[in-house]
Amino acid sequence: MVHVGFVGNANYFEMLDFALGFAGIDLCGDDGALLGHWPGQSPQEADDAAWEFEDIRRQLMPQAPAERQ
Amino acid sequence: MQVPAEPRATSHELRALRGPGGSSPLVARGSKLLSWAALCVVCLGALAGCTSLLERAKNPFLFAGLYLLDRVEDALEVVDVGVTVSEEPGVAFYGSFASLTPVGVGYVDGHFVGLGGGQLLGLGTRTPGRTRFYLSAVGMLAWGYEELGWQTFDPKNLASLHCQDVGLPGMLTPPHGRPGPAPS
Repeated sequence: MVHVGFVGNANYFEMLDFALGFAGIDLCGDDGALLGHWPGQSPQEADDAAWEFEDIRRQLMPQAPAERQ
Repeated sequence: MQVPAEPRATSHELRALRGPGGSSPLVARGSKLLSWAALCVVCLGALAGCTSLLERAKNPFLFAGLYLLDRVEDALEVVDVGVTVSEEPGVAFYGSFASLTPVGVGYVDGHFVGLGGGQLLGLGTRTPGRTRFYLSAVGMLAWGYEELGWQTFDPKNLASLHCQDVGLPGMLTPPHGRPGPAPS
């Protein structure tokens, strides 16, 4: 059986990133990358920072424990 | 006693005073404003981080192509509008205004058909027509937590997802998620 849902979302920060992108500014750090990172942060540091949410995830979703890779 | 009015300079005299290359005060003010705007853009660029185009582009043609591609991808990331399709049942009744009022719960692990996550109908991905999509979110008005995955991700690997606290306290206090999906 197929389950269907609807998604509607506007990303305000991405709007700013799009506008500033014409001037060569990459606010979201996502030019040429699937996932972005903050200015002054390397992609590796952004990956590491994501794991800071591990505790929240454990409490909210105990059925899907995170696996650090 | 009547003071004689100072003689006004004629337009010919003013033009002569400015010299051959002189401009009007309005133009001078405009160019000054433009200079400040350019300086602000440069400063913002230095603060915010410039595009990685110079590292990726090996020649001017590739530079132009990648520049346009980046702008298209940025444009596609502005909104997410579409339909989720999953074989496994999911529950999603979740909404938030500008990431400030998260309310509801949502769990979807399936595919997305539409415009969103920097893609349109899965074009250019391994699954044309649709793309992999993952949402796990809970919102309690003042605070909420969202996990969002597009295209290539592993739900067990937090580094491959957009993880973020939402709601005003959540957005202001660490940990902070990646830039992009908040505020939304």
